[in-house]
Amino acid sequence: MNALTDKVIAQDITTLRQAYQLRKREYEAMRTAGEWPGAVMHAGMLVELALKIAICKNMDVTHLPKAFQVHDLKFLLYCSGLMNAFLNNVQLYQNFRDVATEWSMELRYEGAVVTAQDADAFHQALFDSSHGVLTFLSSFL
Amino acid sequence: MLRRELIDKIKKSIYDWANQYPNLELSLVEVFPSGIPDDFNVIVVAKKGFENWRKIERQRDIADFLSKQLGDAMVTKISVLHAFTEEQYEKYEITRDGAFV
Repeated sequence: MNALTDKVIAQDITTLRQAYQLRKREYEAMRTAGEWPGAVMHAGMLVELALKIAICKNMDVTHLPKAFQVHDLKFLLYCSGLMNAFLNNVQLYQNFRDVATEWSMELRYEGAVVTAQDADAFHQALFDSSHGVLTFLSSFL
Repeated sequence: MLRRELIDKIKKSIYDWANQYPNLELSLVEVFPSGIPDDFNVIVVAKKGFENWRKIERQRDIADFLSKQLGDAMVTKISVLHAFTEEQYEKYEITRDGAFV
């Protein structure tokens, strides 16, 4: 492996887009099945993937540098070039903060108590037709 | 505004917010830099008063109050805003130090 490929993640932007679509189908299946903690975990992963795709697009690269191999949503937003767009829309930013606060990769290990109401609030923050985080980010995918 | 002043201002507003609710007793208010320039994480822990209030709703209530008191521009400097019961905070402490990462 040459020096440059050591510094980027193996998956290219097309693979990240495919992963986004797969995680989205899994997210919908979990909501349908009432698996609320799993749905919330997947929802955060969708935001993470969307921001990583946005970073690739803004940097005009096919492979994400390994420096961005993190799960910190605010850091990814900061690096995506979309921070000001979020800051200039109070409701969109409020939704983003709700997601960034409630989601972490530690959900993988926790027997988290996530109710249907919690999962619905999360869903609203992501997919609200006017100010949803993923509604907004979908135009960058 | 200096970082220290900003932190003090956010903390004071959170105590003002809590004063609206006579049954609410805070045990901790932490405001600390998130690692992104001019940006903060906030943790509020209550000894009592959060039990019958959904977490996401009490967090939004705090954010709405801060927006009114400090302005939207100030509130967008907050990345993460947790409002925990003491029991929830204890669990958070375990994961925040990277035990599972």
